[in-house]
Amino acid sequence: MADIAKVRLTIDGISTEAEKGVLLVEAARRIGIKIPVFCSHSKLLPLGACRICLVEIEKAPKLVTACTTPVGEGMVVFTRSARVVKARQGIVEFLLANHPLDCPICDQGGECELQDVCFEFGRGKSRFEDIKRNFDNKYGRIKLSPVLSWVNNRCIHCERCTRVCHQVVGEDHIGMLNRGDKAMISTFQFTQMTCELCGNCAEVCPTGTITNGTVKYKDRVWNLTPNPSVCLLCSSSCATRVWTDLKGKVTRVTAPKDEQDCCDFLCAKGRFSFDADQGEQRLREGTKITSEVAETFQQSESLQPTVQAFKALAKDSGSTAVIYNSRIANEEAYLVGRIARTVLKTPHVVPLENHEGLTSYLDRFSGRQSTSKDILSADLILLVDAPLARETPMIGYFVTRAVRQKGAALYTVGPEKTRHSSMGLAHHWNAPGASKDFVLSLIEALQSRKSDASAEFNKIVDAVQGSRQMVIIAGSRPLAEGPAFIRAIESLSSKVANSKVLMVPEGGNTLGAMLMAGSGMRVPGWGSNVSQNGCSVQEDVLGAIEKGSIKNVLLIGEDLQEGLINWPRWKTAFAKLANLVVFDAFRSELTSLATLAVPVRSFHEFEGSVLSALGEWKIARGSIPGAVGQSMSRLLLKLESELGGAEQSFASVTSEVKKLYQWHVSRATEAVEDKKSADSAGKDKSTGGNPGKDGVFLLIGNDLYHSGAMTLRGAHLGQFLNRSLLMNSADAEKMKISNDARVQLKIGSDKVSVAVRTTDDIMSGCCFLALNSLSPDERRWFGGIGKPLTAVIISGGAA
Amino acid sequence: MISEKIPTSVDKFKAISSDNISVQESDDPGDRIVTLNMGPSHPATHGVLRLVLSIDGEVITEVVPHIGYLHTGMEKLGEYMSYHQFIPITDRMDYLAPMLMNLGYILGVEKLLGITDEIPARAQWLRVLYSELMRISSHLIWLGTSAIDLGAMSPIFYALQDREQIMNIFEETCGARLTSTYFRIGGLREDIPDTVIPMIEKFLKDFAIRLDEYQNLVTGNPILINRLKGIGCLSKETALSYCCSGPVLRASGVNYDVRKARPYSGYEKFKFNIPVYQEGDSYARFLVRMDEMRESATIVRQAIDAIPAGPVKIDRTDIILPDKHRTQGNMEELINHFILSCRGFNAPVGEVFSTIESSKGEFGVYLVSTGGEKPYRLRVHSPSFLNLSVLPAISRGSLIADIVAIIGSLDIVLGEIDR
Amino acid sequence: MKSKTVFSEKLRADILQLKAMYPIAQSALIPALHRVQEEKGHLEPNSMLEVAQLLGIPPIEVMKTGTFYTMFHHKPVGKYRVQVCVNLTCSMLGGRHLLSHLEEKLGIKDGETTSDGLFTLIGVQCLGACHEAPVVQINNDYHSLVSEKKLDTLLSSLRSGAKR
Repeated sequence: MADIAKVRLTIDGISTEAEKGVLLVEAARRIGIKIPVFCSHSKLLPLGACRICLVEIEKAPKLVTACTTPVGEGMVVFTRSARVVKARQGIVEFLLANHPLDCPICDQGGECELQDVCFEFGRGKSRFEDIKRNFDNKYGRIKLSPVLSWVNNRCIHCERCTRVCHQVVGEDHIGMLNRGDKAMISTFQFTQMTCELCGNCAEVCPTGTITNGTVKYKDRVWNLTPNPSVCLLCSSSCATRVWTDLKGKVTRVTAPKDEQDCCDFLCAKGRFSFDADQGEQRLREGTKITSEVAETFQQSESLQPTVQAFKALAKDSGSTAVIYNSRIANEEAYLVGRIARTVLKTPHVVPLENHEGLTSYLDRFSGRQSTSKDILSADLILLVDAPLARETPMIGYFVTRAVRQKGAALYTVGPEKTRHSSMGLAHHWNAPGASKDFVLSLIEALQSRKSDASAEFNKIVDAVQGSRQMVIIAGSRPLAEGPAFIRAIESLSSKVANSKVLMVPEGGNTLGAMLMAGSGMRVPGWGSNVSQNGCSVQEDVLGAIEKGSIKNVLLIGEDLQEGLINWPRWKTAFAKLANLVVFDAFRSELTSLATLAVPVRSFHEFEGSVLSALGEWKIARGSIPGAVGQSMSRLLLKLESELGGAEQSFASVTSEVKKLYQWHVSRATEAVEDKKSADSAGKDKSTGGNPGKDGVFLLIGNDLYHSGAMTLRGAHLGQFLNRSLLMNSADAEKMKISNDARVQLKIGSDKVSVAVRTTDDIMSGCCFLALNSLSPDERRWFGGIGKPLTAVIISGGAA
Repeated sequence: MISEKIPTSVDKFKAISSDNISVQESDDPGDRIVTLNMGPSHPATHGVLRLVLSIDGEVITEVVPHIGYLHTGMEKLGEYMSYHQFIPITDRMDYLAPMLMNLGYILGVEKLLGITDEIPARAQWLRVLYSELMRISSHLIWLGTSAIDLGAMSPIFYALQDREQIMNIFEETCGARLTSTYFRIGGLREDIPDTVIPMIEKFLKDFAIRLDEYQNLVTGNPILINRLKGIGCLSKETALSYCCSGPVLRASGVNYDVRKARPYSGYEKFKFNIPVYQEGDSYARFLVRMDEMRESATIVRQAIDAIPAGPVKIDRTDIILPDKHRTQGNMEELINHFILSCRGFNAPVGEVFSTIESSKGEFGVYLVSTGGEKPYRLRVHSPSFLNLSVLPAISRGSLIADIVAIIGSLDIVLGEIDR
Repeated sequence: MKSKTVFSEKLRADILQLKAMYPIAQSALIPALHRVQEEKGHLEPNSMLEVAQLLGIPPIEVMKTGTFYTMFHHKPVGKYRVQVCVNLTCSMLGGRHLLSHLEEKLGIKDGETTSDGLFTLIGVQCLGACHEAPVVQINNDYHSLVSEKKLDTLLSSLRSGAKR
């Protein structure tokens, strides 16, 4: 990228330089000069509505807004001249004229931007004698959302909330209605908010107009301590601040402010799931079952029983399996992998969530996948079966920003029309499981057009050919098509100049856990004394247990039972085991069955690093006072040293893990030069299936407000459950099924009763069911992440 | 160990005794030393002061004061409180002269903020008035308690009765008899009510008569003189080397009073004398304080006669709290109140050392600010701490009864020593 | 989920025609809303939803524009909208008295509609005809130098005209 020209200017007598195009507010911030802002936000397009950022520029006749003015060569800016001071006092006075005296009862007090700016830049004495405008009579009593609190009286009309909703999230759910002193923010017809409930409007609101309703009146910000952490609910792995009160209890979760990209915003899952890991559902005491009697112990006392259990596991290394899930940090996964291979010496190290193509993706794309910067600077974004809003909202925010703020062109492909489809230029219907076919036909079409392609497909071809910088994003379903899809997408990327690839798998620290726990076999010298023929997916382990070749299982992670496909079958199989050791944060049937269950920290409390889908390395400090015991990494390190491994400090593990990632990145870079495998893409056979007569493809995925079953445990998100089957309207009409009717869904020999919601946003021949709406028992036929099942819909089913 | 220079009671006894009574002395002087614990819970130690006395008969050979029984971590608390929030903590230091403690701290903060010259004249004048009333009150307590320690039971009733009038004046002014928190950063909390001036006038009238009574009954009392004269002699050099201040220093011949040396809060406008005595014994310290009460009454008289009109608070909305009634109907005031109460004002980076003449001596603060709402370090310069440190030096060789007199004459307050 | 259509075929066609006239669909919003109001008298929630669907814009955008402009009504209004100016010059020359007079005469308050659906009384800001104050605007017609008597005559003629 060419160097951007730099511009020299003077701010308050300090000479500085900034790149062309940088706004004055930012240039001043970089040299430590604070210019107050309300409507301006670093991640939103400049607006210039509030006028508080007025500054004086030499030779300019009027004061200008620093948030909309880019730096100019030779500019001389004064941010504290008498004119500016007076202007700021005036703006503050006007803003406070209609502002209610709510400070004592407003949650924002203490972290309120209006308070801070008014205290610092205001007159300090009020001259307002009139009656303030009041929305309470007509609109104040309407409760817009169970999780957000709205008090329209406090609004200062900066429109940050509506701009976030439009430019970042893409929901377009709220807007400024009426005008003048009656202007207010609300939803269409003042109805309940049916949006994503990401709460970003509350995050950016400078006053207490929109606040987090789940913590209303609970505490004041000066009693809370922000603990830096990382969210483990999807592979966006957003950095968070987990706020604990004076008693150490987790009170709320917010986004960090003013840092690199992928900050300032969170989604509903990350924000409102803070109560999911508190209370009774947590495993707080370990249990050990010896001769039918269960003993409990605290995590601090758990070392010896665990050592004994591991010794038992190590004795019979060929018949021990280790299963981990994606809700663990990199260090934890690394230590699990190391213990499994060097202490337990077992070849069966299996991720609970099987993303077939993930290993291949990590091998070929580590370190060179698309970053957030790439998305924001792309001029073409292609979403291949990637329901971002539902699964990885933060990546969806980057795409929305690229489209709505930077004018990128967006095309979506897949069996589902998502929110991004409505802001895209075209949507190309593509059957689930056939994403690889789409990519291959796109590669072909780039060379020679076919006449029978649809209009949307041709539009995509044209766009790809004309793109300057393209980003292709694909979700879990394409990933489930296996290494073939990765080869296909790599081939496409190599044929389009300046293009980047991004896979967004479901789960938490999916990439990091897989990379760290699964690397052992590939790091030279590391797993060399272990046979390579181990189980690679959980189904293999289940089969082996039933056959009797595996007698011991170590399950390590968080919310493990949730990820075991076909739980009743597993339950029966577990009864056969000699040893079942479970490290989990949540109580479940699995933990009560375990011969040894060890409580570990949950997804807010953990300590370690996380690798996000965008290749960012994020650190969670693990400083929550109320955390259950010590972090899993430290427990595993102690365990390792007790079992004969060398003693190692946590700090050195963190640097080892970082080095391991660098090793993967360098391998992937080498793989780029190896073009042979990329060209073999076309030789893989088609992966698209056929649902059969009367059959439909049943797509399973996360509900909008949930991530697996972890978030169902919380009261705030737990109230949003979607138990409907989304069905194509045309299909429903043909089958004479009306909206809200109940049907039977027959999968294999199992039947599930669901209510139907007809929509045009799903492909004919497909239907969607949110995984978390089903009980563990109902989920037994779930075939694995991303793999569409085939089902038959029988109308008129009884409840 | 027995010092040969100071005559012990044994020698004295031998000298005056005509009978040839032999005292059973063992060869090992160490055998004769008894360790006597005095305090911390003791009526004569003026607070929770523990003195470990090594006595040889009735003669004190060594005194080791143990302090810290009243330590509440005030200086550390100061690092966690905003500048406004710390003012009530200063009340609890020298709790017999709280307003002087407030003033010492507040002047330090005002110096840090650079607003010393902007404090309104009325506020400064009233600060002087109340400081002097506070000084009288403190000295009255001293008078009563040290007299009763010596066995004179009546002065305390008179002293407390006079003090009661002052307490009533304080209550009328700010609602609190003892822990006033009346002085604030930037002035006073609120203006004085009209009812206070007649009360002060009455007090001054009564006090003038009382002072003469004290002069007659107490100062000239031969028992008192015998108990105090020549006891606890503090030489000028020792006093200076131990950094003593206040009446303790002035009784040893050093003419140093912060009100004259580095006038603050408008003291330069008042005419008053500084009593200085040369003997350095407990009686000299006694006389200094008696004279000081008279001088303070003069200052109060001058103050009452000419209180300037005007505001009692500096007009800086970013430092001082707004009037409470304004916060209930006006937005800017509510916001200012909120931020100042919950966070405090942002102090500039800097460090200051500022002292005043408190009733016990030179009291002040050393404030270090690295910006922000809370000080980085709040170090209190306590006169009682330094005055107490001189105790072993001046009481070796005196009798146990004398130590009571010496402690009384030093006029220490443990709240200020321990913080 | 599609809501049932509440527009006539002609109205739908007109709106789509308007949409085709502009490169960006949202530019057709104000003309579309005027058409809807012409046909239905005022803007109902269902109408706004349908306009949103037809133009392919979010419903909140329609509501934003619909509530911003005072000429878009959200409740049924009378056949004749009697708008009395209560700004500076008109007030000085009796505009507010005219308003209260009409309130009494019609038996409704400012902003309300008579029960026969004939008159809606609204106090409005400056109509820009101050040289002929007081000014009353009935639908799109200005009536200047209005007195109480003149108003009464005007309203009764409108009433009788409507009966015919």
